[in-house]
Formats: sequence, C-alpha cells, structure tokens
Amino acid sequence: MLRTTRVLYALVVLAVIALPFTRNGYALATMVVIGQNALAALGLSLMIGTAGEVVLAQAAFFGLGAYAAAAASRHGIDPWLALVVAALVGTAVAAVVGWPTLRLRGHYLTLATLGLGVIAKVVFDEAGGLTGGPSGIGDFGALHLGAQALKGDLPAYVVAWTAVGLGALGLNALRASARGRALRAIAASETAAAAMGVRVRTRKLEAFVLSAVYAAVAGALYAYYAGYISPTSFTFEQSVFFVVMVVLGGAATTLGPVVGAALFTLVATALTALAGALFPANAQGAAAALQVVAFGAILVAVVRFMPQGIVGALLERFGARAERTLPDGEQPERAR
Amino acid sequence: MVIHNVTGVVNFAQGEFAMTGAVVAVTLVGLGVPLPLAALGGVLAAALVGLAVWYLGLRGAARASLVVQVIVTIGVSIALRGVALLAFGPAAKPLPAFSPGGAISLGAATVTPQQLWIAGIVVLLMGALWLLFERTRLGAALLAAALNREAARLMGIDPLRAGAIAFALGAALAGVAGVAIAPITLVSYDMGLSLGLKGFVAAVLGGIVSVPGAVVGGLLLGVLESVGAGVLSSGWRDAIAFAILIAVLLVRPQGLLGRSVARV
Amino acid sequence: MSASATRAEPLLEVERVRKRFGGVVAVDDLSFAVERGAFVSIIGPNGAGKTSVFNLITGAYPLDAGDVRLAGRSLRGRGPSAISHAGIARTFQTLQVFGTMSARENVLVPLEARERGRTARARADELLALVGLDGDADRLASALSFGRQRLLELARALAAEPRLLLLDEPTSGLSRAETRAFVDVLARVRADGTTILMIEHDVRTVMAVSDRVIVMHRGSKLAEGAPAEVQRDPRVIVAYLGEPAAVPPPRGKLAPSGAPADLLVVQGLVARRGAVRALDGVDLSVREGEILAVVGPNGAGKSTLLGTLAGWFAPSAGRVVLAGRDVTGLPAERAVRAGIVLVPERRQMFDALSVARNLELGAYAHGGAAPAELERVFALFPRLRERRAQRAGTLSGGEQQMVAIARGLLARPRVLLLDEPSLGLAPQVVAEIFAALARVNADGTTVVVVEQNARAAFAVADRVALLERGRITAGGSAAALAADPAITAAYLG
Repeated sequence: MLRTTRVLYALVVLAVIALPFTRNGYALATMVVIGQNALAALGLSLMIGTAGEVVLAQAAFFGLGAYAAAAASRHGIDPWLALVVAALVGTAVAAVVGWPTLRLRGHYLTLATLGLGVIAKVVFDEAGGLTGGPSGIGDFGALHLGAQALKGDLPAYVVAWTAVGLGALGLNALRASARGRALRAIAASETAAAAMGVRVRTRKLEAFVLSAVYAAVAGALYAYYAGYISPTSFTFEQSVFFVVMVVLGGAATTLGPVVGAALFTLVATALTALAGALFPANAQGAAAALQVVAFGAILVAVVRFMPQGIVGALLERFGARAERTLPDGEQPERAR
Repeated sequence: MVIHNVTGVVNFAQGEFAMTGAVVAVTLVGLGVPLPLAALGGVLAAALVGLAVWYLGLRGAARASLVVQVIVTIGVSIALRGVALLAFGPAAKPLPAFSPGGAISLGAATVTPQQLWIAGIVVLLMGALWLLFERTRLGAALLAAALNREAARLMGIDPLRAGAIAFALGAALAGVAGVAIAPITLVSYDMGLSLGLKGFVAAVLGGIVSVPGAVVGGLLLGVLESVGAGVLSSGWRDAIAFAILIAVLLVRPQGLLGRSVARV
Repeated sequence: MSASATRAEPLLEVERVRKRFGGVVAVDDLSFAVERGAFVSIIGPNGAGKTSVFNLITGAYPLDAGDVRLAGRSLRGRGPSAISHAGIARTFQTLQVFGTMSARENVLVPLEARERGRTARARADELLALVGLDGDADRLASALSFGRQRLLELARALAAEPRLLLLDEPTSGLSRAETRAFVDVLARVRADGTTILMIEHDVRTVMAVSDRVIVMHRGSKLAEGAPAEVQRDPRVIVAYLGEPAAVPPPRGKLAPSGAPADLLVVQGLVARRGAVRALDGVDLSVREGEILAVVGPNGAGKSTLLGTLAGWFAPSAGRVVLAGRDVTGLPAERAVRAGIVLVPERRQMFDALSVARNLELGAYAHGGAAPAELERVFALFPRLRERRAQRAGTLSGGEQQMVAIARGLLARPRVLLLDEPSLGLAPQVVAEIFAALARVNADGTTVVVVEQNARAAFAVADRVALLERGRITAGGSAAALAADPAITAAYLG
C-alpha cells in the first residue's frame, strides 16, 4: 500500500476510534448514519469502481435487508442471527435477479436496476402482511449483548463501524485477489477479458451479489438502530444518493465510499438545518428538495470535473498513483 | 426517443421534462393564465430546460464514457425533481381538463373528453413529426445525425447542434405529454420518473427508431398495465410497467446491447 | 518445419464457415485447417474478412453456418470465455490491454482465470521476461509505449496457455526495429511448440515467419500455399493490385493550358491514431483539375490522410492550405463548407433513408441541390434515377458507391476525396466507378483518390503518390510510376 494511502487510512481509523471519547452525542448519532451509509456505499463501489457498471437499486437491497431482519426478528429469530438472514436474503434475491439482468451493460443495465429498485419499492408498499405497507413496521427488538439490549447511539456506533471496518478489509482483500483483478479487467475491456478466459457474467454476478449483501446488512443495522422502518427510506432518490456517495468519494479506492458517505451525510444534515431556517413552515419537505437538488448538481459536477472522486484527487495531489475510476471516452483521437 | 436517436444517450431525465411541462402549466393556470396559454408555456418551459440540460450537462460529455453520461442524466433528473419540489411543493395538484363535460359512451367503453384530446394530440404530433422528418431539411439533418453520425458530419451537419435541437425537441414533446395527461393523473413533482421510464418502455416495445412504433408500444403498455392492475391491485401498476421494461430489455437485446464488438 | 507440419493432424479446422452482417457477406463459405505446430498467416486486401474470421473462431461472433473445430471438438455455440479455456488465445488489431492495471496484473488475469494458484505470479514474470518486459512489470499498462503494449498483449495471450495462438496484425503500428524485435519474440514462442495463426499486412514479416499463407479475398479463400508460391500467384497479385483488364477507356480530358496551380497543399502533416504516428510528416500538393492517386499497402496511413484532410482526425502538426486558405484542423462539418468533401471508405450510407434523401443530405451544407445539379449526377449514374425512392441500405455495393460519389458531388467540392472507392466491388463495377470518376474530373472537379487497387487508380490518375508508413516515398506522373517496381514491392515485399 502506498504511504499516502496508509496515512489516510490511519487518520480515518484514529478518528473513528477517538470519536466516542469526545462524548459528543450529536456527532455520535451522525456517525452511526454515516457508518450505515458507508457500508452500503462500499458494496456499491464494487460495481461502479471495479466492474464499471452503475446500479440504481442499492436502496432496494438496503430496504430488503431491513425488512428481512425485521421479519425474522418478529418470528422469534435472534437479532444477531437475523443479520445473517438479511445477508442470505440479499444474496438469494440478488442472485436470482442478477443472473438475467447482468446480460445487459451500460445504460441498459442501469435502467434495468432502476426498474428493480422501483419494483422493490412497490413491493414494500403493497406487501402489507410482511412489510406493514406504507405506514411501515416497528417492534422487532434490538441487537443485544447477553440479556442487555443494545439501545442508543454508542452500541450502534460500535456495531456499524465494526461492520464498515470488516467490510473495508473484505473489499481490499477482494480487490487484491484474482477475482478483483478479473473484475478490473472486465471494466477495462470486457472483450479482451472474455477472450482471456475470464467468465464475465459469473464475475459480475458475484460482484453484484456481494454489493447487495453489503447493502442488506447495512439496511438491517439501520432497522435495529431506527427501531422502525417504512418504504419512504428505500426510494429511487436514496439509490441515487448511494451513487453520489461512491462517486463523490471515489469509486476505485476503499476509502472513497467511506469518505463519500461521510461528506454526503454531513451535507445532507447541513441542508436540513438550512431548510429549517429558510422554510420553517415546511422544513421537512424543503430539506428533501434541497438535498435532491444539491446532490443532483454535485453528482454532475463531480463526474464532469473530478471523475476520480475526492479521495482519488487527494491521492493524485500527494503524488500517489490513483486509478481513474471512470473510463475515458472511446476513440480519443477523433477530432470533434 | 428523439433524443436517444440523435445523441445516443439514454436520457434518464426525459420524464422530468414532462413533469416540468405539467408543473409549469398548472402553476400558470393557478396564476390566472388561460389554459391554452398555460399549456403552451409548459411546453416551452420543458424545451428550455431540455436545452439547458444539454448545454450545461451533456454537451461537454458527448465524448465521455457511458458511465459518465448515465450519471450525468441521473443527476440532472433528481436535481430537476428537487427544484420542482421546492418551487411547487409536495402536494399533487389538478390541471383542468382541456374541455369540460362528462364521459362519453362508445358502445361498451366510456372515454373522457381528455382521453380524446390525448388521442387527438398524439395523432397530430405523429403527423407533425412525420412532416418534420420526411419533408424538412432540419428533420433530414436530425435523422442523418441519428443514423450515421460520422457521415452526417461529412454532409456539414454539426452533431452537437443536432444534439441541442434534439434535446429541445424531445423535451418539448415530453412537455406536451406531461401537460396532456396532467388532467387525468394530477400533477406532482415526482410524476416524471415513472412517466419517463414508461415512455422508454413504450419506445423499446414499439421498436426504438420509428414514431408509429413508439405509439403502438405506448398503447400496448397501457393495456398490459390496466390488465395487470385489474388482476392485482392498482398499487402494482408501476411495478408491472417496470417488470415489462426489464423483460423487454432482456428479450430484445439485439438492438439494445449495441454493437458489442464492431471490429476488434 | 513444414514437412513435420504436413504429417501432423490438424489442430484447428474451419469448415464452410459463413457470416453476414445485414446485407454484407463478411465470410463466405470459408474452409481451412491449421496443423499442430504450424505457423500459418492470413493475408488479403482490406475488407477481405480476416478479422471476422478471428471473431468467429473465438466466439465473439456467432457462426451463421459451418463449424470450427479445435483438436476435433466443435466450438460451435460456445462463448469467448469457454473457447479461451478450450485453448485458443488471441491478440487484438486495435490494442485491448487492461490499461488501468500493471503489466504484471495484465498477464495474471488469464493465469488466474485458470486457477494457477501460487505459481501464477512466477509464471507471469517468466512470460514478461520472454517478451522482454521484465523491467516494466509494475508499470501501468496504459503508460507503456505502443510497441510494448503489443508485446504485453502477446504475453497476456501466452498466459492463457493456448494450444492455438491467434495474432491480429501484431506488427501494425510498430517501427521497423520494433517489428524485428517482435518477430524475434515470435520465434521464441514457436520454439515452445505453440501453433500460430496470424493476420498480417506487412508482407515482409509474413514471408519471413510463415510455413504457409492463406490469401483471403471478399470473404473467401483465394489461394493457399508456401509463402514464395503465394507471392508469385497471379491471382494474388490481382487481388492486391487490381485487374489489369479492368482499366477504363482512355480519357478524353484536354490538357490544361499552362502550368496548373496548386489547389491543395499539405505540409509536414502529422496525425496520431491512438499511440501510433499514422501520418509521419506528409508533404503533398494537389493541382487544380487533376486526379491524384495516393497508393500504398494496408496500414500505410492512406485513410488517416484523407480523414485528417476532411476533419475527422485532428492533426498534431503540419499545415493544410486550400486555395490560399489555411484549413488545418477544421472539424469535418466545417471542412465540407470550405470545399473539402470526403467520400468515405465503406460508403457510409444513411441506410434507412431513400436514395433521393441521401442525395439531398449531400447538398445540406449549402441549403439544397439545384435541379441542374441533380440532373448532372443522374446523368453520371443513370441507375440512381431509377432507384431514387429505394432505401439506400438495400442497394448493392456498387450502387451505394455511386450514391456516395453523387452525394459528395452535390456538396459542391473544391476538391473531392475518395477513400477506397473500389473496396469490395467486382472488377466490372470498379471499372464503371473509375470511368465515372474520370468524367467527373473532366467536368473540372479536382480529385484525390486513395486506393489499394493501384492498377485501377493508375489508369485514371494524372499523378500518383506512394504512401508507406505514414510518409510519401515516391511520386510522379502516373505513366512514369506505372512501371516502377517500387510499387509492387511496397505491396508484396
């Protein structure tokens, strides 16, 4: 690993460990949300940054995990085990949906995953028996240590960031492995990768499933932290927001999505405060609107002017060799 | 559809152009502007937004990779939704029907005057588009840029200008669609997503290059949706549309996957 | 070597393979075999279907008909990855290295797709050393020079442990020294017993390394044999240089009075295609009212030259002056308005539009064709008048070429550029096209034609320039150059 990268990692890890000692309850609560977002974003970065495909269904898998964990707990399954159930449901659904869908590429894959996301939202709304319908579902217990329920910010913080840490390590290991190389090869030239014997569809499916599992576990953690879930958290906008986190931080590095999730969550919080000040009458609606506008603009700006993301740009700035996340256009020699 | 043909970009923001048209029309009506003028205003606004999106977002990315273009149109799409939410508020509002009167019985079926309006507008627009593409120099240039970009340049056609015109035109058409269906569906800031994607499904169903094809596709989709919603419940309507979208993408990959390896 | 090859049973058998794209037959009833341990090359003019054959063998395209067998087992219906695992590896004509990965990682990808486990890294380094890239193992593939990327693709293909190695124009874009180095590496690869099938346009390389040569022409096999035999085969010479009998009748052009002025002047033009210097300082002048033919072998830079003049590619150095006006680097849509009109290779029809609308678009730049102009092109190509309502995509190749030329004329060219107008056309059609070209010129249009079919070009041209490796290496009157052995040598070594 390069020195700059190591320094950055060390800083992030230190900050995460140090934060609880500041006893700042507000910061802690924000960091829980960041951690959960970061986990889902890490998963998505595998598709965007390594396999080179934009998936717009991450909120659906996030919601799937949340509902799976909730339903399992309500049926008397231990919440820790329910996390595993969420991961398994994520795996199964992603595998079944992904196998036909991953025949598509580019625009069409994005479009299909967008469709999947919308369908999932409709299912969450309509399958009332399981999901509680539009009004949502609560009352499904909490994670626990022995008989002691893990309620509140600090335990959720520890659980979420442990998951992020494990998730990051797993992703790093994957990137450095044969499979990770195969994925990067597919992103660089699918034609050549296939001709060299890389099983393109299988590798992409694995990445898609793993990406969904990260989201499902993150969703399950969110469910236990919030204590209540409803379909409004798992919308098309939320799927786009996960893309924003990945692209903003930089999709090719492991640190990128984590930093992206942090920046995203902070900006979102700031916008909520701003909306409260500007439109006291309809603060919640205005906050949602401001966020959508701002992140739409940020997404366009980052992709156009800093395609390697913030972490990628920092690494470049400090002399490290960052991969370009988003491939350049084809046939650059063409004059316009 | 027009946009896709000329620029080769699947525009995730197309539905938002329709939303823009509807929202602007409703707002103008609310301000006391007569309905026909308000409708026209909505369509113009959609066209202007389309142009702005092209110049600000996509023109410079015309040669960037697919991933970049996809993300740009997604970003534009949600930004437009946000602007609409800020300016228009979250509540759905009705647009008055183009002409008053109750449903008309036609044998076993009943139609509302607004549905007749829509049918009329569709026929009119089909005619107009046909004239544009078959009879005018501009239409020929747009078609040429769509069919063979490189050759079009050799004829002196600037593909970026063609792209701008296509964006404005496509957005205006979407605006018309938004305004026309507004009296039936109500107008809200988030109507664009499903409208745009249904439009895409219709285009794909009908074969992505022909105008009548898209109309036939749209009718087919409408029938499938209603039948499906009748069997299940109306809440599933969108899910059915998107299931069809995915099925269509998977079943007709030849035109959609693009030329996989033209000459490697 | 060839004696042992003939005894061995075939490793690859291509049997009655056929492939069409739309109305174009790319590969037509092609059969051949490659014996174990042999080095076979496929040559043939542009558009003969050579790369399509590779795409069919490797499963990138599905077969329309016929069969491909490796060691007796059919590969029909298998995808690229499965065929790679069956033992066929390839390189690409347009480089396809994994640019975002290091050289070593590039080579690791196929090794790891074969579960080579711990030995993969050592083997990767071995292969990099074999092609002479051991010093570049940790460098990003996209940062390597073009020649080294070609070597990297070779190492990567070898890492797929192929029984059969397919090389698609491996020396294209390489300098002479790099080509020699590449050929040396190939010799080492062969020593390991790998069977090789190579597409190559550099005939010198082909003659030096091959046991056997297959000549393709218009999708089928024209000739096959030992390199020296093929080189002397009159059919092969015709395929490359054109049919001597297809020469159009002598031209009735009046000699221009006085010294004609230079209409188009090109100075030191340099253009890159990717990492290749496709034009390496071209100097050229075109005189008012003449036909200048630019001839040269495949890959010499002919199409890049016309593409750069017409604004498709941006030059990185040099100047282009048309009638005193600097038109260097004008983009295509503005070059047309300046009077530089290109009739592109492969004709580039608007397939879905009628002939009439294709012609109409030709006049787009200046607002539409006058009736007299349309009459003129219909007089030139009477067949187009009959077919004006037909969709251009359904026309024959020759008719499409007529539309393309007519479309170019309607753009009111100061100079008309034609890129390989004879490509894929039967000899009598070629004669017809060139006769029309002579008439166009007799009406006063200045013409630059790029042709591989040198004999057809010589018959109508006033002057000829020979382009080799991105430079003009010979030039002069058509009559003087027709007998020049340098021309034949440039094509057939």
